[in-house]
Amino acid sequence: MTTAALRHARYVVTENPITLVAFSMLLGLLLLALLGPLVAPYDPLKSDTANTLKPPSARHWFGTDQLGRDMLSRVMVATRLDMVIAFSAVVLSFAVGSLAGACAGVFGGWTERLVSRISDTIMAFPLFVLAMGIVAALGNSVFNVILATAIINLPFYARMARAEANVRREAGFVEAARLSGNSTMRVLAMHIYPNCLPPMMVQASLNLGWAMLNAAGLAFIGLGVRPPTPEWGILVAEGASFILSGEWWIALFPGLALMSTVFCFNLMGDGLRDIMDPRRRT
Amino acid sequence: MRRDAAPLLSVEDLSVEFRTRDGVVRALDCVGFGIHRGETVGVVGESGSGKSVMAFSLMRILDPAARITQGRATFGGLDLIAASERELGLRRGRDLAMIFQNPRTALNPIRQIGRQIGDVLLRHAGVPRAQARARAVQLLVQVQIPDPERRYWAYPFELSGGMCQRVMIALALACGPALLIADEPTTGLDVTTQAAIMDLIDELALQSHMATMLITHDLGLAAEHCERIVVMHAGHVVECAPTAELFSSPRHTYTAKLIGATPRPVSSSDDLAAIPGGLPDLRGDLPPCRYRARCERYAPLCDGPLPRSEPVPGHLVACWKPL
Amino acid sequence: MARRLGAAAPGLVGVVVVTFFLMRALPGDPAAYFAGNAASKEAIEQVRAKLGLDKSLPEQFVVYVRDLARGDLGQSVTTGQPVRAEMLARLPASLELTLTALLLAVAVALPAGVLAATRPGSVVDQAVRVLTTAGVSLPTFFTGLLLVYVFYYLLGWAPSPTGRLDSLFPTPPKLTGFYLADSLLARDLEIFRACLKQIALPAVTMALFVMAPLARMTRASMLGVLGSDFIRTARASGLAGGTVLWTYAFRNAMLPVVTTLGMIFSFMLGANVLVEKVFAWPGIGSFALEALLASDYAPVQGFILTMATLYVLLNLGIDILYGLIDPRVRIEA
Repeated sequence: MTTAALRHARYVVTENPITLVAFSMLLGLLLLALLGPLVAPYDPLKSDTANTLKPPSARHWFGTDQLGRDMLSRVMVATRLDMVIAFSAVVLSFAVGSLAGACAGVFGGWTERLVSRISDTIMAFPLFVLAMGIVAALGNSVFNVILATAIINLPFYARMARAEANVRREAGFVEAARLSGNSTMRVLAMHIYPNCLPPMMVQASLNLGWAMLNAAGLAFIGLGVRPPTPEWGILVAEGASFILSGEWWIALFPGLALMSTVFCFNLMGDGLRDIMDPRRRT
Repeated sequence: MRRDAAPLLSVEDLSVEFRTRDGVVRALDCVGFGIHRGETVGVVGESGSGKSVMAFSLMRILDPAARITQGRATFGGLDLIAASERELGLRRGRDLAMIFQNPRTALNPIRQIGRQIGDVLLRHAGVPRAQARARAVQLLVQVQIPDPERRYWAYPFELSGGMCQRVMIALALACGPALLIADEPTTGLDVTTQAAIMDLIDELALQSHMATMLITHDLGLAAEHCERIVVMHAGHVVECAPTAELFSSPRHTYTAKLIGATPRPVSSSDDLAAIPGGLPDLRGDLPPCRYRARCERYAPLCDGPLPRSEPVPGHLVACWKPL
Repeated sequence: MARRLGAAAPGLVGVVVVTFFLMRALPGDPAAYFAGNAASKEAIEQVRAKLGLDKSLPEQFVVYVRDLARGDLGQSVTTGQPVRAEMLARLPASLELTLTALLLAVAVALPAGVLAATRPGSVVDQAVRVLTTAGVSLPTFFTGLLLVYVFYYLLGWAPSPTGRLDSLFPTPPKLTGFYLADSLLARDLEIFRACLKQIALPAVTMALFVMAPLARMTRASMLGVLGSDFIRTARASGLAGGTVLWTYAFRNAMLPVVTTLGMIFSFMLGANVLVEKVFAWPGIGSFALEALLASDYAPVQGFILTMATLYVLLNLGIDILYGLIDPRVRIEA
């Protein structure tokens, strides 16, 4: 990054201390994801039938669930799975979507029609419903959840990449490159594609939150990740039946964890957008 | 032209500043002039000289980042600068009207033009709803829009730039204002349309004895249509005189240079001279005379506070060393 | 209009095709799934023959489309009823929930966005910005549970989350299928109030999530419009503040907001499933979920088709609405 960009970034961060807070929280969460099982006080899968449904106490900060498992440990360990799912889905979506979109924008013709058709077909479904269908069809596994979440996010990236690539194609990049002897593929790879990326980074960070909510939602209704694997959506689902009898801690803490993480991602996304394109501040 | 009657609009010591990320921009500094009933006055200057800011200040439609720091603008007994929004709202559009550049974007894109005129009529002229449409069509006829009955229902995007400007004029003149402020009304239009629009404005002004403030960067246009011209530079009024006198004997160097840079039918483009330098940066500390940096007649006495003299009655100039 | 319907057609085709492939891609033997867990070998073979699953894929597709054209969505194994009948019976519940939530969201978000835009930098503006960023982060199922805990368990204001109407009350005579409307039409205020109490929490849960993007979009759009040339002209013409704000600014600002509705509906139809589960709301979402857990796949297929078709139709509606507000789209086309 150039010094001007760094100065601008520092200006935005000082204007918006919240972005800094979000960034630090995110680092904290990433650390937790990496170290989760090592840092957790108890084994998240170990049940303790003597201590079921205990409210938060000094021994169990987040209380225990119906099988006596420590909630704090379960929530901490679930961080890893949720982060892995969200990041993998977004990275997959980003990679495939942006590539497809850039190709569509540069080559036009059949490529563009194909990519548009696929995009439109995906967008014709309410996205969560489509994700449900995909996981139901392919089976309950972490990979399928990642795949389903990636698929429903494809159109956003494809569309953005196509628009950016189109602009550059119209501007004559391709003709100019051809005239100087480069193949279209080379132009695409070296010039057009890298330039499409920055605005999509902003979209990606905003997407992370949405992807996580999606995965948790699927788990909540019993698709994808299955108990006893700790995952925030599953934990909330398990806690749901106890809400009515007043045992609030089983559902609350995983829910709060989920909410704060998504909030973090969104703040990050907003901050990134302010850094990259101040005109679009909301 | 005897102008001993009290002026319709009298602007005194108007100063406006803008808060920006890079500091305070003093866009206007002690601007003052007057317009009499039925008179056409041109306000001329380069882009950025503060002409539009001045007009927006009078109408009080400035950007929220702007602040009027001082000044009075007496119009028909009311000080426009000090008046409340309510008092102003009664006058705006009724006694005092404005037309803008880029007529296409200056009209509501999703509302039929006839109804937009109707809105103004309903608001100010106390025209009953049933008659608003008929009255609006009458106005469209007055501004010479062909097929007015059908055009009443047209949207701005269906009309040409020239037609949109005519609609704006109809909008402004709907309630018979005493003063029309025209901010670069012909910029962006083709030459033939320009002439037609200016002729229309002249004619309508004459018919209703309406005063006009024509804001333009085109000195030639001002010469053709205005009785008196106010020359602005970097937020200052530098000279103000009847048109013929301004051209025959300009008193400020800047005015002379502007005249030299204006193409005229008899001259060739070889005779055109550019004005050296550019507008000063309006942030930070400025010298009393903002033309100082570009002036070849500069002398140490020019660093004193800017004078306002009247070497000949009716001809004002702000310079220590007038021509 | 015909052109718009034509534009919606490829969407529907895509939906039908994709659903076909999804439901045939089930791990294991699809016929066994459609026949149900307890089915005997002969029953499975029967189902296979009936659904044409023994034929080649293209032939299967023809059978599938033919059945769809007849309105035949198959049979639910768990209830023994045709899926179509179940769907139709439960659709009003889901629609009522979605519509109520939408109305609520619009009623709160639009004024909030306008207020924030007309007072930039004020407390209201900051509050709206923070709340909308927070709002988009809310997991719908979690907010639902929180609301139940606070308003039912702790405060006792809301009734227990067990469906559309307390079993004490008879259901209102069916005119629209929407309990709220039907009870009003039957002039039975007691039932109306009971229905309202039941729908309150689920509708608020759904509304909370979509309020955020709506308010955000309204605010951004209004800010943009308020700075435009034609608003300046309107003010210079001395039009009343209300006219400038609502007749001139708001209508123009609504254009991008209407476009956002497409995304909003996508969220809502998906969130339907989650909210129906939390509140035991007897709509098509909970029906599909029960079927899913029982490995009864015909309802799941029917659910996906119904939701997607609904979505395509809603998008069509949005296009039409947009055309009504913006003459440029209508006339230039």
